[in-house]
Amino acid sequence: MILHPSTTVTGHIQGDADLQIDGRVNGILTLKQDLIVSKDAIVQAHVQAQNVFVSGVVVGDINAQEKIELAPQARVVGNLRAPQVIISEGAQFKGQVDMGNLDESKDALPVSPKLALSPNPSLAGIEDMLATDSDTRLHPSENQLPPISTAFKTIIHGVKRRLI
Amino acid sequence: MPKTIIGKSFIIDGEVSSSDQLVIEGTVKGTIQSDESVVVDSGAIVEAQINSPEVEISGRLIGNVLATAKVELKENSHVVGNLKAPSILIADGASFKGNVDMDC
Repeated sequence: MILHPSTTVTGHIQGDADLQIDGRVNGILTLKQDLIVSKDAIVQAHVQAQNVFVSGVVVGDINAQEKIELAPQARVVGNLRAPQVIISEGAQFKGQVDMGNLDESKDALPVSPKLALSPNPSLAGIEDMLATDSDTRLHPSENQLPPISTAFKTIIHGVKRRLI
Repeated sequence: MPKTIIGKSFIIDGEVSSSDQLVIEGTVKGTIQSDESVVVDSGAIVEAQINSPEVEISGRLIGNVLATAKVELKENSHVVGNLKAPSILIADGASFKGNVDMDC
């Protein structure tokens, strides 16, 4: 089915066949086959389809069973969820991409459950040191510790950033 | 003449509007508006208000039709609703329940 540039649909579109949008659609698209959003089309919708090819404008989340492809002219704001996501050079996109094939527990660094649950102790130590440092600056007379040198502070900041 | 066809396997719940002809083969619930004409095909199921200069019904329609030129209920059409247009044609074999208003 082709929705021509002259056609606007507001609401929920459901279908078992391919849909090409050349016009405007606002709402929800639930398709069993492919969706093509043409160059001049404007789609403001939550999209569910087998494959989604975007050359136009889409504002909304896109979920595809197989593939999402953003062509060079595409402008998309929303989250993309599909096993295969292709963003071509020139395409403008803002949002999250989830290809769903990364087993996060396997990819994460091996950490003991105890460490994973509690806040990182080494980081907590540095936080304390940084807090001490600021206290030193605020109340120099009350603190007995010698002031931390600027060079050391820089190192601490570097370590903290890496740990984060 | 360009036209948009709402295909057989499609269900639209909401508003469809076009400046060209709209042909409904699938299911539409809500509102249908065209600046040219609306054709409800023989297999179509429409539960909607239709606004268009010309409206031609061959399928099933529940809803009111407001046309500035002509409404035509074809053979085997099934319509429940009110029709308002200067020219209204109901063919032999059409089934219709509702008001007819030609006083435009």
